[in-house]
Amino acid sequence: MSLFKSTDEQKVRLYEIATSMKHYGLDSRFIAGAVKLAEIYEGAFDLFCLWADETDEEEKDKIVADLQDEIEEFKEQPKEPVKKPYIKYSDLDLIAKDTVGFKAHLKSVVDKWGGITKLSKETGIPQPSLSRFFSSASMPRRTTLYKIAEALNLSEKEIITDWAA
Amino acid sequence: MEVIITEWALQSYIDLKSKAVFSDSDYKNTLRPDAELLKTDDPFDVNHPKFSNSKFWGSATHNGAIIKNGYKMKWHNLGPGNVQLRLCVVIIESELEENFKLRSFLCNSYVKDDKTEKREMARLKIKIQKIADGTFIYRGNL
Repeated sequence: MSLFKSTDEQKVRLYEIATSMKHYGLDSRFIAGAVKLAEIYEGAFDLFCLWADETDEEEKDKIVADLQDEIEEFKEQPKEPVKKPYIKYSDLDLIAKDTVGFKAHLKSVVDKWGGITKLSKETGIPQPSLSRFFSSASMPRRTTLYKIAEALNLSEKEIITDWAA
Repeated sequence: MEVIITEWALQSYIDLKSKAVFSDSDYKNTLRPDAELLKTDDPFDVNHPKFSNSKFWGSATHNGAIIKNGYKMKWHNLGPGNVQLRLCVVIIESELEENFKLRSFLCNSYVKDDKTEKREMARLKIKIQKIADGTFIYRGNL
């Protein structure tokens, strides 16, 4: 594995930013996962620096959502290249429609249960990530679905979708 | 050169398409043919009519530094929103299906603004590392 060799200065900077994230109110589960990632991937370390340098809250949220995306991708990461079925361009609209419909239904279940803020506290998934998850047509990750299912006490059947990344 | 469609490329295209960032006509007449140039032409040819044009193709950079193996294909005033669309491409020697050779990997596509650009470049560095490590998912060839 091509480990990113962070310098001592970078490590100190990373932990400083992680502490700032805690003071900012981000969940420790998220911060710990993001730090682990930034020790392995230089690009994740760059995202930490972008977050620290950013003053606009909306932009900071986007960086948090990016880091959470990377954390969840890392959890499902294969050990070698994996080939999934080819998808034709003509099928993209159908996939997007199905995925948006599935997420809209799941969002209504979450709203009845207590809403995104509560879901964020229960799962440790930052609120900006959940907002991105529900507004995007990208296929959902199983890791995210299982966390939501666990928080809401949903069965496997209730989170089955035709399209999962 | 063999052109690999990564999972990142697929997911970003699904989202961009659902948001009507580009039309079917944009895809068929512009995006797909431009990406297919990677199959037939040399992206490092300094005399190539398109790859030598920095408004169409160039190295990816972060904080002014070139990102090794990272490139961007660029489209201007695209789709109904006249957006600046970018497609991240990784060109690297890699082993796939027991065959080690130079390949192009189509990665994330996004609508450019200054701040999105910085985030996407940081994320491209992660993708390059994953492609080099062989820890990625792909959806076949272009």
